[in-house]
Amino acid sequence: VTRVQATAGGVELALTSDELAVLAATERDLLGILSGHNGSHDDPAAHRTLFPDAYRDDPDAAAEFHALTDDDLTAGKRADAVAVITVFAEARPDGSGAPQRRGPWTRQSSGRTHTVVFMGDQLTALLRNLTDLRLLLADRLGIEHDGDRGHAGRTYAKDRAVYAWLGGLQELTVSALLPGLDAR
Amino acid sequence: MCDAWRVSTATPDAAERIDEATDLTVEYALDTPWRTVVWNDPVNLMSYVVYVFRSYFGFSRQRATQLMMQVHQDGRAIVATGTREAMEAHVHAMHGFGLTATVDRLEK
Repeated sequence: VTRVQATAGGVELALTSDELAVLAATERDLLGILSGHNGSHDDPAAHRTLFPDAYRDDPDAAAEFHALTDDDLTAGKRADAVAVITVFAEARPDGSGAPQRRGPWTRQSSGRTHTVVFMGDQLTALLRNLTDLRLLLADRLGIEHDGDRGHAGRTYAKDRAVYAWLGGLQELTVSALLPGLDAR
Repeated sequence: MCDAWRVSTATPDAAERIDEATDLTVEYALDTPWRTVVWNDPVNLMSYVVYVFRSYFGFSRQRATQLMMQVHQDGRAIVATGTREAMEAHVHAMHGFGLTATVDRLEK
């Protein structure tokens, strides 16, 4: 179970090894899409969501805006992902050094908790990056309207679960940041 | 927008305080005919949209919540008006936050 709490100057996240692995895999998917952002799109749906048109009724203006700003937007999204990956890469399992209890009744060490702290700009990167990851998964799941949980069936079960988990993670992170906003 | 995460209590509380009589339209000057529109989408969390409006535009909690609810209920809200350049900068920033935003021009 993911735990999120405000700490002095930051927000502390505690994730299990499984959650870290899922997050890393989704970040790889996102970085893959971002690196392909050069006009020939492998994943048009994800591109439309991650790079929306800035003009709704003016295709020429929309195309011009894309041409002028998409490189910068791509760089920002990639920098956010890298910042988040970097923070999580420093995660160490809680109680490392202590012998793990093992037995036939315990599952691997997959449930071990890893704690990291996001501070300052890293928090903005985290919120923006969690949004990008959810936009990516929403496209994969075909989510089109409010309350839509995405494609049914076993094939999409993992994506649905990850999408919901990332939403909860983002909600908790925003909640942890609210006292700081109120104090401004 | 998405509010599947009932772990949050901040957004509904704030939303309940909106006076129905409050005028949600944005005032604008006639010589600044461009505006930034944020559109509803099924992915972004209500709490996150409020956070973006507060942290980027510096809106009060009440104002940010009003605008978020307008996006949620009406499908869109005008969050800024001004020069075309300024509105394009806002839209670029909103896209950076993962929100769907567009620039358009006020009707003459």
